[in-house]
Amino acid sequence: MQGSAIRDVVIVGGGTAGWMTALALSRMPPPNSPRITLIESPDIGTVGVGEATLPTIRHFNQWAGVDEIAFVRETKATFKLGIEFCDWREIGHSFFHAFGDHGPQIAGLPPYHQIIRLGLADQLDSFSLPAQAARKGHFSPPSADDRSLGSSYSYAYHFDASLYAGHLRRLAVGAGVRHVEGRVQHVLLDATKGSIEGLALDDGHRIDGDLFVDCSGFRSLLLGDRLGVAFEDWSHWLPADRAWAVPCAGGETIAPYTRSTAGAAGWRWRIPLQHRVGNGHVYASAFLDDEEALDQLIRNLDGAPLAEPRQLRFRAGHRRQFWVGNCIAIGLSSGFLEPLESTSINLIERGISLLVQLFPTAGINPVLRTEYDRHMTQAFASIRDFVILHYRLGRRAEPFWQVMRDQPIPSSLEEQIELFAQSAEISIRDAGSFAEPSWAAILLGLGLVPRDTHPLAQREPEAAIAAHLARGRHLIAGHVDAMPSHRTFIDRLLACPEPRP
Amino acid sequence: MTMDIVILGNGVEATLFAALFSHLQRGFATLTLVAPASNPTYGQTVALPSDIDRAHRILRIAPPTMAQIGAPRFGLSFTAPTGKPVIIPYGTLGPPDLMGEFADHWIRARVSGESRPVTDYSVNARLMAVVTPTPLHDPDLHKSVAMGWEVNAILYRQLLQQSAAGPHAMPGEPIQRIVRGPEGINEIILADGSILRGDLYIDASEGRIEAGPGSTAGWSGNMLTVGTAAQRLDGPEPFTIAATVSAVARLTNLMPRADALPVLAAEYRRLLAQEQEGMLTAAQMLRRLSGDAVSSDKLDAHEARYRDAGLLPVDPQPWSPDMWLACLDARDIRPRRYDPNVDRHDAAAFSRHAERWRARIDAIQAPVRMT
Repeated sequence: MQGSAIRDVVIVGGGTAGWMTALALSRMPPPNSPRITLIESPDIGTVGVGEATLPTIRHFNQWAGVDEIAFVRETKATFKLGIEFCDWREIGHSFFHAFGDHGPQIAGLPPYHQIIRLGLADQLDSFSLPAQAARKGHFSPPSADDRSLGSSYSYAYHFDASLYAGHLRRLAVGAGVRHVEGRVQHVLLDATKGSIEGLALDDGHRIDGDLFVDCSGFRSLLLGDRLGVAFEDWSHWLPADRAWAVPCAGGETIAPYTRSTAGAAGWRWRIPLQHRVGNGHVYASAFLDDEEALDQLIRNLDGAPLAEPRQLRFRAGHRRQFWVGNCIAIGLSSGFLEPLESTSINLIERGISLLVQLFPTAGINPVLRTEYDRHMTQAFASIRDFVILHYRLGRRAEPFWQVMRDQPIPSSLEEQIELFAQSAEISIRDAGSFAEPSWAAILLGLGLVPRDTHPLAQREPEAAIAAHLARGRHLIAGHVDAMPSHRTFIDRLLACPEPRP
Repeated sequence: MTMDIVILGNGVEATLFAALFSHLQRGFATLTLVAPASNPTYGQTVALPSDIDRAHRILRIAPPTMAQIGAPRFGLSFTAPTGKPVIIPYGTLGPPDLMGEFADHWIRARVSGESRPVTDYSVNARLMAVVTPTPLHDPDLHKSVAMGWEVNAILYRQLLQQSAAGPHAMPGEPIQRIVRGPEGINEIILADGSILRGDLYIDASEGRIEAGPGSTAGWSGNMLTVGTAAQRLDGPEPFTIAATVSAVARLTNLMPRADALPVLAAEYRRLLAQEQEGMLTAAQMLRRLSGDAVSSDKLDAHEARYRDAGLLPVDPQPWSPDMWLACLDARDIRPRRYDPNVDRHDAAAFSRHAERWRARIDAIQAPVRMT
C-alpha cells in the first residue's frame, strides 16, 4: 500500500459523518480526486444528536459547495448565535456563550479586565451583540464591513441531522459518489500488510478499496471492532454516559440559540428547528436512573412529543489512534464527547479537513498517519478540557455536582483555571479550538471572578472607562433593535430564489 | 502600586529590554539598570533580527536612523561544506497577490519537478546579492522585503537609551555582590557599598552574571532571565535579541499583580519553553546547513514532515513558514506529495505568475536602497 496512489476510497456509514466525508472527497480537484463508494446499511438510523453546530460548519458547507438557502430549506435549519446556559450556576440564573467577542481591546488589553474591574462581570452578556440578539430572538448575518460593530460576531446552524445527511447524499451522488446499500458482513484484511483489502457484504458483493473511512458510528466497525484499536476512556473525567432524545412540537417563535439547562445529574438540550424542537437529556447513570431521567426530560418539553424517546449510551473518549494502516475513523467511530458545546459535527469537519490536506496522494506513509493522529488527539483534548470546565465551576448542590467539583481534572485545565482566578489572564493552549471570548463567557458566566486584574487596567480613569462601556452597550442595543426577528429572517431567506446550479 | 524593577546588565540586551519596557509598562514600574562587575567585552557590531522593526516602531526609531549606524541585513548567507553558497532570505517568498499560499503552490511545483531554488522568488535574496543605495520603487517588491540590521553596538545602545520613555536610574557603580535568598535575589551590593533592592530583577546580562543555585530559566520567584542569560544560541541569526523583545511583550502581558506571582511565573515559563524549543530547532537547522552533524529529533521530524507529507512546521516560530521553506529547500529535500487543496488553483497560471515575479526580481540590477 505504501507508495501506491489512492484511487478508491470506501466509506462505511451513511450518517452525517459518512456523507460529509463523501461530499468533501468528491470535491477534491483533479488529478488526485479519488473514486468514492459509500456503503450504508438500511437498518441503522442516524444518531441525530448532532443537530447544533459551531460557526465552522459554514466554512465546510461553502468549501463543499452547499448553498445556504437550499441547505436551510432542505434541512429545516435555523440560525444559532450561541448557547444559553440555564441553572448551571444556580437555579434561575442564565448566561450566554455566544459566537462573538465582548468588545474591542481597551488600552491594549482584553476588555474583560475593565469589565471585571468595574464590577460588571455578571453583566458580561450585555457586552456581546450576539448574546443580546439571541435574548431578543433577533437574527441577521454579520456585516462584511470590518469596521462595523455588526461584523463582530458569527453564527452557526441548528438542523435535522438526518435531513442534512440526505441533502449531502443527493449532492454527493450527483458529484459521482457510488452509493451502495448493504450490510458489511466481513472486513477482509491483508494480514501481511496490516491493511484492509475489502469488505464483504451480506448480499455476496465485495467492495475493495485503497483507503477506508470508518463512519460506522459507535460500533466503529473497522477501526475499533476489526482492527482492534483501543479506546482512551475519559469517563473518570466526564461520567455522563447516557442520553434520552425526543422531538416535540415548537411554537411560532423560534429562538436563535441552543439552550442547555443543568439538571440533577447532567443537563438537557433544547434545539429549535423550523418544524420541531429537538430535546435531549445527558446524564450520568451512576447518579440518576433511566426512568427518572426520561421523566425529567418529558416534564420540561415545550410541546407534545412527536416521536418515541430514544436512548443512547456512550463513553467519553476516543480511539487511541484515528488512522491505522489504510483505515481512518471519522465521527462517532473515532470518539465521543458529550455535545455540551455542539462539538460533534465540528470534530467531523476537522477530521475531514485533515484527511483532505493529508490525502495520501503518493501512498500512505507513517508521517501522514502521525500527523493526523496528533491533530485529532489535540482537538479532542482541547474540547474535553473546555467541557470539563463547565462541570468544574458549576455550583449546584446535588451529589453529582459535588463530585464533579471535587474530582481531579487534567493538570492543564487546573493551571488555566488558577491563572484566571488569580490574575484574570486567559491562557489559550490550542489556537485551533475555543478562543478567549469563549473561555471568558464560561469562566465569568459560572461566577469565577478573578482576585485581581492586569495592573495597567487599573491605571485607566474609571469614569472614562465606565462611559466607554456604557456607549458600547447602547450601540449594541441599537444594532440589535434594527435586526429582524429570527422567524422573519428565515421566512425572507426561504422566499429568495436558490442560485442556479 | 508601582514596582521597582532592577535590570542587571548594560549591554544591548539590557538596554533594549529597558527601553522597550519603559514604553509598554506606562509608568507601572521604576527601572534601574546596573552594570555587572566584569568589564564589558562588546563586539563591534550587533545583528538584529528582521522583526526588530516592531520594537523600533514602539521606540520611534526609523530605518533612516538605523542606516546611519549600520547596514540592513536581508537574510543569512554562509557556505556549506560542499562549497555551495547557502542563502536564507528574510521576507516573503513569491508574489503578494497570489490565490492561495505561495508555499503550497511551490511545494506542488517541486513535486512536479521544478528545479529552481525557491530563493529565486525572494526579493530579499536578490537584495543580498546586489544591495547598495538606490530606491526600490516597485511597491509590490517593497512589500515583500523584511530587514534586519547589522549595527555599531555602542551607537545602538546610545540610540536605545535616547528612545526610552523617560530616564531610568543608572547607578554609576557596578555590582560587587548579589545576595540571594529563597525567593531569588534579596539585594545587590554595589562597588561603593551601597545597597540596591527591587521588587523584580531582570537578568539581561548576556550571561555575565553567574546564575545562582537552583535558578530556573525564565521566571522564578522575583527573578527573570532573558535573552542570552536564559538561552545561549550562537550562530548567524540573532535569536537572543528576538528573545529579549518577546520577553518584554510576555512580561507586559503577565505583569505581576498582588499574590498572583507564582501562577504568572508558571505561565511565563510555559510560553518561554515553547519559544526556546522553536529557537533551538531553528538554530540547529542553521548548523545543519553549515555542515555540522546535529542530532535533533525535532528537526528530523520537521524534515520528515516536509519530505514525506509536503508540510511545513506546524509552529514555525521564531521564523515564518517561508523561512522554513527556504531552509528545507536549501537542504535539497524534495517533497513527495503536496496538499491537494492547492489543486483548486491552476498550476499553469501559478507558473506564469511566478515567472513574471521572478523577472521583476531579476530586474533589480545593481544598487538598491530601501526607502
